[in-house]
Amino acid sequence: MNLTNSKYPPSVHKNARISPQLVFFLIVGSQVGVGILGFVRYIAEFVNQDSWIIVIAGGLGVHLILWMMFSMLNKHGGDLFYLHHKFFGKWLALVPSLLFIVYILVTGIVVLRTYIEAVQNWMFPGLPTWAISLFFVALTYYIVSKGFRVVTGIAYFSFVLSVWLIFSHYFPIKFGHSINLLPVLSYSFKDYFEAFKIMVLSYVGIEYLFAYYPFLHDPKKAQKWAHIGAATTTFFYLLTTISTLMYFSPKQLQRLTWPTLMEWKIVTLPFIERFEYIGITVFAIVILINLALSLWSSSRGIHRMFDIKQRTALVLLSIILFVIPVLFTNRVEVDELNNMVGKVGTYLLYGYIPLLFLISLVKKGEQK
Amino acid sequence: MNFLKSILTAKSAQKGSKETSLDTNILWEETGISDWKTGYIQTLINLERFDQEVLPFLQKNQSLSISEMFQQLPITNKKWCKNPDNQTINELILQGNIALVKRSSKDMIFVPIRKEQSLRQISVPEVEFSVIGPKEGFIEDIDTNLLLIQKRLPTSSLQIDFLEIGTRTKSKVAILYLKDVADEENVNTMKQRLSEIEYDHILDSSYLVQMIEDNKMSIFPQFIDTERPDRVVAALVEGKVAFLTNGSPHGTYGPVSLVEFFAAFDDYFLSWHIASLFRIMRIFAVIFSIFATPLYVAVITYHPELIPDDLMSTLTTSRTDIPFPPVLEALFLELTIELLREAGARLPTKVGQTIGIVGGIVIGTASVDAGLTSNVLLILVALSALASFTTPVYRMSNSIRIVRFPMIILSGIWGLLSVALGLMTILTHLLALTSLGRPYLAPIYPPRIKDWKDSFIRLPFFTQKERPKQLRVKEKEKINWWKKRDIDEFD
Repeated sequence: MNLTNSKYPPSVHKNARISPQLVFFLIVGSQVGVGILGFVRYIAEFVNQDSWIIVIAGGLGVHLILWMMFSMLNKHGGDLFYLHHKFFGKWLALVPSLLFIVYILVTGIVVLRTYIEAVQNWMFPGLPTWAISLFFVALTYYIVSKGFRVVTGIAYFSFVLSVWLIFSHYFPIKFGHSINLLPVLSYSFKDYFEAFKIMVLSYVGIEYLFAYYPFLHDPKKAQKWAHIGAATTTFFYLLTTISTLMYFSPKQLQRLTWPTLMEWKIVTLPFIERFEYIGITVFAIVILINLALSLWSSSRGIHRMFDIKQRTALVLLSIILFVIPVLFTNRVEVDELNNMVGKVGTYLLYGYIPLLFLISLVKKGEQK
Repeated sequence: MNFLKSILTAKSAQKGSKETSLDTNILWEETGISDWKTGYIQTLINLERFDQEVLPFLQKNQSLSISEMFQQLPITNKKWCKNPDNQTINELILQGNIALVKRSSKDMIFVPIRKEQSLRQISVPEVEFSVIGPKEGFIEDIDTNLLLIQKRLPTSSLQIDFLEIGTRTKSKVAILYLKDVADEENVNTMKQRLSEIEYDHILDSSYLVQMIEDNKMSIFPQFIDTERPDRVVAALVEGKVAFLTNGSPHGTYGPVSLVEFFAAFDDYFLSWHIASLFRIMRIFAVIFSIFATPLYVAVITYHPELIPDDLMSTLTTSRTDIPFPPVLEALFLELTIELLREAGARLPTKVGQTIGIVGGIVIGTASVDAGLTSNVLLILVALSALASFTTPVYRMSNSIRIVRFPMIILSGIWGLLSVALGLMTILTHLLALTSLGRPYLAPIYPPRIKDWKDSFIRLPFFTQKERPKQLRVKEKEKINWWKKRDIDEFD
């Protein structure tokens, strides 16, 4: 085991790099996950009709964090593991780096387990968890083993193949009542704060940038596209929130686990009924990029820290990603897992990253 | 692989150490003119020409020494070898030379008087037939094929490099590219891959294509081979690298991307609206061909709720008496269609057509009447088979038909969910695939919107100002002649 690997910024072959525009798809792909199917209920629990304010506030917060991440990476170069090594030294860097890898892997586990939950509730009630998990992990392994360019390609296709789903919001908005959105600003600051903390879970995903930053061709240009990506995510969430709030009354909403899936039930097209089946199927493609990025970033992290081959790390992490979702057997546990990751994500995004940003301001930058 | 290679090289080294003997087919003959003797293989030589052109000259100047004879003999492209070893003699005579020897000397003159093989006439391309446009197709002779290309490209920047591949067949291969356009990396990769081939016999360019593909395990072809010289010329001008093989009526070029396989060369002869419509139709046909049957199986087996009531009643009536699950039914029908296709392909044209019609109609109606298959599925399967034939490149249409089978099996496992995962598996494979090291899915991914003008659509010629970025060409601009005029402005 060689810990000095992360002492230097990684050198990435030019053929493995991606053009700056593609960061858009990576950001949207990593943020939008299975959470969009249910997040409105959790924030509406605190602020009901004002949920959309929280969505916008969360989106603005993401821009701030993204700016911080890009500033420190632009200044020092390399990736998070290099930054840790530089700021904390060889041994002390181990702790935050390892925690980061574990956290990234857990975000993948959460997405996979939550999606399996949705499939079991809405599509195939009897399907064993391990079978779906195996299928997804095998495919994710295949994607990641083909390298970062292919991961980015999957981000692109998952966006292209699923973006049309936003048109399904037409139906709930058409049948909904705009009066549901009023009155504005009628809760205490504490409620907004609680809702904001819960909203963070839906916005996590940008931290993968810490791992793939060295793979960007032109980081300065990429930053612009990353912000556009984050804004697009905010727009998707806003649309979902508004349509959900308009269609369901507050009390009705609290009884639902998957409000968006419920909305899809009213989509009526001449050639298709029960639109939610199509929706869940398309979401298989959406979560695939979450899983791929999570596995890629975590295996990359292990490769960077311990100088182990990334393929070896990938095999180990894939096995973990396959096994752990099986251990969660019911809805309550899945909810618990979601809450936990949400909390850790909040600390990471609004605690650790600003802290790191402050340190990076003090430390001397990369010599040109 | 390396182990095998080392054995092979060791063997050839052994061969080299032994003195090769002269080919026993060579006929050594006295000419009847003082000291001169000839050696040749009868089947390869035009003896008549030899008697008329070389012998009289020998007769007149029989006293000349062998080097003087070499200088004065009025034949072009002759060779003079100083004390050649047996292997060179064999090689040169097998290439269609006559050896001239003078008794007192060990040197030899080789006179090329090859017998001209009577060639197949240049004929209309059969697989890539087009209603309008040129109707010349490649034939089996590389010189004729090169002529077909050179007369369309009378420019000095057309570079032709020759290679000899195949330890036994010694097939002649010509690599073509435009010096001032094609990317050197592409050219070098192509040259390197071709020259690295060690195989005993190369009978057709398709041997080479399979040996130089980037991913040899992939079922998708990574080079286009065409029987149309005009298509090769268009590829060359665009900045691609092509090669011709002696004995093969196909030109092969790369790097190519997936969408090019769905472009027929007719598209450039028709107006751009029609061409774009046809291209979109072909791509739709491919998607239909791969996904129609799997989606039917998925929906009927697992998600019948998806289907609106009216349509459902039609489907149920067609399926009431069928004893098999939809997956088996679909696989059975798909296999039948493949069987018909294969039988049709193996038989002579006229018999093949009869088999197709008889088989299609008789088996189709009979299996529906017997209650073995539902007629809705029969329609779908027949349509998707038909759709797969719209792909202009034969290799690609085969690949598409094969991809269908795993998709059908997947659809039988978890319905739509596994079909979606199957689709993503194919996409991942395509994303990772390259042709001569260039991304296979371009210009879809990496997204290069500028290059979309000649991909799944074909916009008018005046918009085609630049060569595709994919090829990394040296000269990006094509000449642009179109000038936009203002209202009421005239030249």
